[in-house]
Amino acid sequence: MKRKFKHMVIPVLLVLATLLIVGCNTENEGIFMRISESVEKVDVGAVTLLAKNGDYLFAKTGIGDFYKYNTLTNTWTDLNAKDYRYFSTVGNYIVIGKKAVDDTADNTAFVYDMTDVATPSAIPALDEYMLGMSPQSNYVLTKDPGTTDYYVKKINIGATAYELTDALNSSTELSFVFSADPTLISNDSVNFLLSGQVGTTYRHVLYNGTGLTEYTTSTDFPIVGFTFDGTELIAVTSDGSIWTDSTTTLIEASGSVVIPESNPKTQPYPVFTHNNELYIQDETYDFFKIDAAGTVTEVTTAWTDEFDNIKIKSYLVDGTTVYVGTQTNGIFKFDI
Amino acid sequence: MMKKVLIVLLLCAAIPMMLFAEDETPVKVREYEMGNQMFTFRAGPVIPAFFFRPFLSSSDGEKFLVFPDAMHMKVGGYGSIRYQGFLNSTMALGGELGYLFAYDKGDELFTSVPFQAKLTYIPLQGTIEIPLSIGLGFSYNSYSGGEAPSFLSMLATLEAGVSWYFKDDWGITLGTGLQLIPEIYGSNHPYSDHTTLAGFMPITLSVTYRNN
Repeated sequence: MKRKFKHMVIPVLLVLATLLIVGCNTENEGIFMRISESVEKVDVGAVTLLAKNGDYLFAKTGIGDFYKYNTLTNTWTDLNAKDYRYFSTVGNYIVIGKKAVDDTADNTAFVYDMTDVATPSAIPALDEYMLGMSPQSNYVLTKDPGTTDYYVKKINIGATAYELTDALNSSTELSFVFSADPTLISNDSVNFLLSGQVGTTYRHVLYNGTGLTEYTTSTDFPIVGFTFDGTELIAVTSDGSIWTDSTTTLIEASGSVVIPESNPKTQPYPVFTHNNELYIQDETYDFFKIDAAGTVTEVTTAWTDEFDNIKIKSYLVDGTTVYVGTQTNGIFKFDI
Repeated sequence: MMKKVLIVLLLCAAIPMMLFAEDETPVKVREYEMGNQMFTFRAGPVIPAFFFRPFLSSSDGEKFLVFPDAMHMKVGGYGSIRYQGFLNSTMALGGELGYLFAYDKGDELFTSVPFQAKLTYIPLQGTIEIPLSIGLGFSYNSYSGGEAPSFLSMLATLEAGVSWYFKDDWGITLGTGLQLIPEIYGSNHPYSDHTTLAGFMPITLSVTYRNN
């Protein structure tokens, strides 16, 4: 009997040693840690924040509806605007429109007065081929059907009439030529950036509130996030490369961030700006800030811990408070 | 939830008792010997019992989270098949393959496929038996959240139960225990403080077939 036990010691020790080795997990931040930080799902789907008015946030949600969210009671109210895709904010108004299909202009759009959202008004004669709107500012991307001519316009809301006019309010149309539909990005009420394919590379144009900057450097990927403080541009392309500018030249920084492959290449990626630095959540939900020199620094603080297990869809910055629209967990906020 | 689970388990145990209550044939008490075998099918709810994070700083969270609410988990389920052969009159050695699942607070799914060597000691034998088991093996763990991470870990289990052999060859067991799953990060890993020992408590009803 003693002999039997002696023979068993060696295989048991070998099994224990093997178990200890394979028990070491090096692939992620910890499944059990993630579980302990899991957050209840909110069944409105991915939340794209549009605007804040008083105690209410307005958002487009993943289930295709237009909602308002009471920040005091954390409750959602369906504003009954189904099947709309584009949203734009114009002062106290939110404009919502449908996507043009098969080169057919769709003039079905509505204006919501955020102070009285129960009475939406239709926009008359919005006879444009709309390709996109910037959710938190007043820019609309349109196209001449059957051509490669694209326009950035803004919506003018008058007492009785609403119309699309040139973004610069000039008599000359703000038009661009791209070989495929470009990406319109705007994180504030002033700047926008248009990034689109011309041939095999991407062309980038920045509007800074007063004029256009056409960057002479083309890239292999579209810009999906940016910030511009009036003099310095910080941009991220869809492959995670970081770019800064020197007048009209884009300069690639040495650092990079990992953008999840699930983010469509030509769709804006959620970022926000604080103290002239661009903040971004990467593929593994870690936060990084990028300064004007293109330096990437990981941010680890109390509010970043809150999002260890939460994928972010959008941000809305209100002073030092940042509201966060998530993919599956509703709305959060933190002070930065 | 717990109350419902216990009611279901008691009913499962009571129904076979009622079915065989009128059978007055005396059940012959079996004595085990080397070479006897047992096949067991187990199923029942699993209660997330604890997460122990020994290296976590207090600013990042609590070291010890106990029971589903604190662990941000929901009651899940466990099922397994087990085969054991007797080494002598009281000890049986064999293996068990199982499947454990539980959802977290965000409805993401945690699954674990444990496969283990199992040693069972049966100090009380007869129509009513008390099996006590320890197990050692591996567990393949997956999580549907985030980038759907998974890892292979070691596994240790402790179990106790009460069996009732309503036929010479067939018995049912109400058992519970603890499944311990460590998630270990080396000291050089950036998340070494996320090293966790997780405990899950299955409460199972088993059906056992034994033969000579």
